Amino acid sequence: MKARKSGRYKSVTAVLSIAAVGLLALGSVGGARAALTYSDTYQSQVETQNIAVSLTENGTAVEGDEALLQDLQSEPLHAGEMYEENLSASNDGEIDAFVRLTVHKYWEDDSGKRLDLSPELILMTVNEDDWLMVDDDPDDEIVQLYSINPVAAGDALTAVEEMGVDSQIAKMVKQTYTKEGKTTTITTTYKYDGFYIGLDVDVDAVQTHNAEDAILSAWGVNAAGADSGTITGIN
Amino acid sequence: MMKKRTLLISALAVALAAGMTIAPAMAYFTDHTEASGRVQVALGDQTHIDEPDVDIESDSWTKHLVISNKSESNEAVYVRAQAFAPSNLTVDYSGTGWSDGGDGYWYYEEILQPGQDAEELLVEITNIPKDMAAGSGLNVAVIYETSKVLYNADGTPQAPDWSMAADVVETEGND
Repeated sequence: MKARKSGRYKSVTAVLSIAAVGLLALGSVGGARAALTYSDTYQSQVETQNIAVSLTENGTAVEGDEALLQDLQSEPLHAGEMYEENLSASNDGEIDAFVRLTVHKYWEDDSGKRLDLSPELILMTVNEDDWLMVDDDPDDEIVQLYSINPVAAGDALTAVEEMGVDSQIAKMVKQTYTKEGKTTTITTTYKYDGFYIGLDVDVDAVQTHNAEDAILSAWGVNAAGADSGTITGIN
Repeated sequence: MMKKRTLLISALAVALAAGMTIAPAMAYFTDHTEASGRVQVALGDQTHIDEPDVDIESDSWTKHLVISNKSESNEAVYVRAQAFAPSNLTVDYSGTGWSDGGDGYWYYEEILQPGQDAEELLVEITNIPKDMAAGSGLNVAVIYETSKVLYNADGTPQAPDWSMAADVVETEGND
């Protein structure tokens, strides 16, 4: 048997329904009204933490393929001589940064990289007063340079000063004998004549705040002393 | 029973909703740039030994040797030479600019620039047995060696290092 709503319940339901409708009506978001005001001083404060680093060679910024060593293209390099080749890291950002240069030096001929010739014969004079050199690549191809102190915003720090080829390379020769009647021509050519020195440089910068953590996170190495502003060792 | 399950599901939903809020991503400030390039290395020098003719004078057997640094080469060299003859014969050297090094070699005093010829080196075989006719065979081998000129930082040439032996890694045509 269905319970019949008594009169009392009927009125309660009615009241509740009216309340519900009323709440709905009032609850809808009306146009927000605010008093009109204006101000003629506009204040804005923008603070950006901009980190940026670039590579400069002999004073000019370089980036991308076939950008390096262009100053030395006028004539081929001779063994035993050191040529001026200034590679610097330039801090173009607004915050100080620790910088790492990774230099890949290798031999190349027209068909590609030559692995039979040791990159040890490619010599570089590094500014070890300002950079910590990590040179433990067994192939001697990769040399890493860590800035001992942060490079200040707007500053540049010279990493490599000179480059050259070890004169040992001049020992390896190829001799071609041609005889014409009484004349013998012995043509001695250096086996590696005409080869190219290839150079790839990567520059990385990282913030100085919480430097040791930042360097470990970004570069994967422990830079002892970075938090105090002077890197004493890399492992 | 129903109530407990509903409660459990509600609790899970709340937990899920809370967990879904993405915490702000934190990264260290870094920057990176790279550049590459290459430059050619030139090492070659070409030297050439010329023996235009065997000048057999009436009573002397003399070779005239002209050693030239070919103009295609791009390096200056020092030169020294030595002749080998059968042991019963004596070899006499002479020539302007050539001097005896005392070690069997005769040294040319000047540096040969590319395109430059050394003064003639005369190698005379003396002490020839009387019964040998002019024009009959005699084997005299002349060897010559060159040493690349290395320069000091101020541009002055260094003395030649004859101990720096070439490491002949390849030969062609020497049969």
